[in-house]
Amino acid sequence: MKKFIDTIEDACKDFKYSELLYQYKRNLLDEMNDRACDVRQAGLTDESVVEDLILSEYPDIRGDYERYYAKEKQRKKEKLQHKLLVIGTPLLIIISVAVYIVQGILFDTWSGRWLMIVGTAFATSILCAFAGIRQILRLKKIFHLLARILNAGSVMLVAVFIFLLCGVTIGWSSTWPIIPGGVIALLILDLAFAFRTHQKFAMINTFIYIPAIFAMLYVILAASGVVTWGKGWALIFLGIAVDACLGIGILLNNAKYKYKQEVEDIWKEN
Amino acid sequence: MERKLNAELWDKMHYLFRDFNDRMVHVELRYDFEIDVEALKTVLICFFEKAPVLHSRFVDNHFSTHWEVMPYNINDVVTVAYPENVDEAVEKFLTQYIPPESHLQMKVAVFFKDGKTTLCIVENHMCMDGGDLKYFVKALCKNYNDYVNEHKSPIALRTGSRSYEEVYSSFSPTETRMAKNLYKNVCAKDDHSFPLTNNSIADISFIARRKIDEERFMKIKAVGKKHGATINDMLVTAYFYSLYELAGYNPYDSVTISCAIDLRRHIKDTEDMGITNHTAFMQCNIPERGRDIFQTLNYVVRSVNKFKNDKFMGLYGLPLLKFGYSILPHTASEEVIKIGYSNPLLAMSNIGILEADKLALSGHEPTDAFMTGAVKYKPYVLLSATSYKNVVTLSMCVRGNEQDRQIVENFFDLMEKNLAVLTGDAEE
Repeated sequence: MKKFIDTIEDACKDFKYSELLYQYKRNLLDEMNDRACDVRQAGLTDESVVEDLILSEYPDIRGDYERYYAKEKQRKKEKLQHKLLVIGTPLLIIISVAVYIVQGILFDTWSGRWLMIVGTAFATSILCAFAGIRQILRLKKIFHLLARILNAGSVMLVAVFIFLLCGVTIGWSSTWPIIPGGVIALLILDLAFAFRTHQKFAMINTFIYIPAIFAMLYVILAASGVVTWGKGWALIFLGIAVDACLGIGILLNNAKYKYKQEVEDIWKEN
Repeated sequence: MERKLNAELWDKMHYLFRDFNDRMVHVELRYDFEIDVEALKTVLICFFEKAPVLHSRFVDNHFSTHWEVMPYNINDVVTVAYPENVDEAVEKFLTQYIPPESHLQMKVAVFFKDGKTTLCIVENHMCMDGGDLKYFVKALCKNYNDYVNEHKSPIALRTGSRSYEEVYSSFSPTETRMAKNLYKNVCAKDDHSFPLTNNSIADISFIARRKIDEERFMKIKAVGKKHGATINDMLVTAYFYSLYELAGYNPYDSVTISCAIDLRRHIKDTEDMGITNHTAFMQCNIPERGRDIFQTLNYVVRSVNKFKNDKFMGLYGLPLLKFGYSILPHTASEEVIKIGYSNPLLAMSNIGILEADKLALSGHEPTDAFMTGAVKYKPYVLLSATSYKNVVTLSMCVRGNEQDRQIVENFFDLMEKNLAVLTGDAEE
């Protein structure tokens, strides 16, 4: 045990004393003693070998502490953020409701002002979703689907808020294309997320999303009169054509990495 | 706390081979002195701690697989005995089967008789292949010597990744991408089999072996050199030719023997790698027997050279296997892979040279050393070859009966005869 203590103290001698450092050293020593118990139970009786064996499992105590320190700092930061979120979210909504009521009573301006409550609720929901996404991304990839759903939900909340805002300020009749616009943003951001986090079927998603994006684009452009409803559907085919071009591009690119065996098949000559 | 290890691609593949062989790899070393069992146990505990897969059980929950590290005692690993008949004890020990669900994946036996020691090791192929077992045994001997002579702690065993992807580690990014695009099913379908009897529940595992003496070995080497063939090519040629004779194949039939290849040839530095499997197979195919054994040799050399000149030798099936195992739950993946995979009926594994100086314990080189692959279930066979002090040991591990043992012995007779023909010591 003395050798363990000496090694730990020697490796950490350059670090200033802190509760975190003490905790790290304590945990490490406990871990080493547990491991020593395990190998003694396995039948190892030579104490110097036990010590050398256990110490060989910790080749970089200094580096491990630096990583532990960074991780602990991050953990504390996140804990604080979570606390703020838990307390702040309902508080913000209560404040927004209070502000809405007070300003309504004082200035008698109720119409459209409810948006501040909706906006606050949406914004806090998005913040909660981001916190959730951060946690989910640390889990196995199988759970990343949840993160993608939260991501999509956040984008749609933004789109719905813009829709409501435009509806209240400009009028409802011409604002609905914001919703298909939101769907386009959702699909693009989901693709970005899929590629950034190396999801398994990101490329297949791309092939599905491109025609969907063009279909939404058709709806928006036709509704705003840029293209006619009768001819604009060609945009969907354009999406399929983009898919085809992308597919060919990928095949051509992959062909560059196709290994052609330099040695001919000798039995073909027989 | 429960400690889990990742089940690597080759671990899963060898698990899949449970229908074809018992997955055990065997080592036997004979010394002319009594080794220090306590020192051996100390070294083995250190090695088991360095390679925790050796004291883990394989968990298959149908969806996924992993290794679960288990507690153990070294006395469960090492058996010490003083048998009357050492050969019998060795055979009994080496032909044992360690289930993957067992808490230990390696067993060691030390048999003492008349001041001599026989050291036997049996391990699960899912943990490591012959290449790494050879390294393991050499490291065991070196650490034993350092511990006994200098009281140096025996902790010098490689640790690190066990992933199959290490085979790409020495490639450039372009080469890696090319290698990872080699989606090819490399299984050769050949119905020619070794003429063993039908399966029976009374079958037992046995290891048949035959030694080729130093004089013959040197001649094989010299004749091989003259024909541009390696020792392995010469052995494969004799294997082919003997099979045509033993099984009575049509001389105009094309026959394929799968030869094990060590994928570590692609890795420049293996120092930061854990003990694992890096073995694939190449299909050595001859279009016909040929008019004589020298024509067979010519066919073998041409077939083998085709593979040797391939930059990505042995890497063809890997991306497909990886894909197979990653898209579906484990049980479903196995079923899908079984559709495309056909286990070779005839196989050969040249484990290579066992270096006497590196296997020496306390200054005593082994008087005999030998390694062999898994016990195959009929109709599959694997011919293993190792050489020690220029003596080649051919071995075949079979689960069969006395008649099968006789057939294998006849096969070895034919191998000897055909090797003699190759070296010009006999006529066809």
